[in-house]
Amino acid sequence: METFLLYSNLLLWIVQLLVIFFLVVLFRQFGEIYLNSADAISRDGIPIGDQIPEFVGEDFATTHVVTHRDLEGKPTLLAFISPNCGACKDLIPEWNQCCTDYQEKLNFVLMGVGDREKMEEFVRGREIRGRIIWDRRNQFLQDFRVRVTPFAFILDEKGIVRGKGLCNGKEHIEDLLEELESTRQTNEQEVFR
Amino acid sequence: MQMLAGVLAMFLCTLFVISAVAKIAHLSAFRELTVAYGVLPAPIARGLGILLPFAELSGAALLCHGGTSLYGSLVLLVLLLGFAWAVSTVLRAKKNVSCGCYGKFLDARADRFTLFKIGVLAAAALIVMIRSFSHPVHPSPGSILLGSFLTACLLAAQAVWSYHAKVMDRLKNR
Repeated sequence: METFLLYSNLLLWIVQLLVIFFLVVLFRQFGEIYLNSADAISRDGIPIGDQIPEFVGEDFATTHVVTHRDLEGKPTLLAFISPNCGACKDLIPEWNQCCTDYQEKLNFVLMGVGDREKMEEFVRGREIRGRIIWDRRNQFLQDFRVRVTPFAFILDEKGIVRGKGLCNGKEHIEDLLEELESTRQTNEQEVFR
Repeated sequence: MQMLAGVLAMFLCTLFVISAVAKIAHLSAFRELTVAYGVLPAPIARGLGILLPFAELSGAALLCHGGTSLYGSLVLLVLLLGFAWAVSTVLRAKKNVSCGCYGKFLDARADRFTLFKIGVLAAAALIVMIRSFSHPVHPSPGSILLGSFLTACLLAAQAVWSYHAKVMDRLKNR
């Protein structure tokens, strides 16, 4: 009897370890699906239709204080970048291109997070069009609920989010512009009714 | 301790029998796979590719008998250390190579899981070897049953891990 109990105890330990292994694997997979996939990242950020949160930043070029009110009056493309992010560096040439193409329709604003020194390094030797607002209070990512950079919001003239998502290049920027246009068309149709 | 050594001996024995038989069933494919590892010159790797499954089989056979379990565990320990060296070399070189641990019976890559598995098997072989110095490790019905169950669990864990690795690759590259 004692031998049987001993064997069954060992058997249960083996089963227990196997179940723990399966659970770890399952959680790893769920984590990848729900936290790191492109779809999941696109679900980040403040919801579409919400007003952007109040913020206080610093104009990187002039060091003047910039608030959320400065973004009202004209649609704005608001892209969050961090100096250590490779994709943010790769974004700049296409960002500049879009800025040239659409500057009459939109404000192009880069929201820089991280140390000022590193931001300076990021900007140095790189032509960047549009405005750069630096996160002097280290609050932007939290307030805008952004987990990864480069991530962008497209805002209408009232500062309401009309589109959002990863912003790795021209294609993404143009997708956001389309979202803004389609919202406008929907709103116009509603007014005519 | 005697019981544990018995279970581990049977675990190693059943696992290596399955592994060797699966390799022998497709010997030419396994021979090419040992070359693909790229850790040894091709002619030596080809020779080893033929010898390894038979070495595994003899190690497993030696473990089945109390009088020879010491030699069996020693053979398997040497093989496992060799596998560990080959897999760690492949991992350092960041190569994507099929592990070939179970021939075509089960698809597995040479990755961290394989290295961990080799570590566990080497620890098991070491325990059996240490025990065999003082007491011969005889198989019993209980140890055969539990050892086989352990092997089934390890194969299931390997299958789940291989599937998981493929899914993670797909998720990361989509």
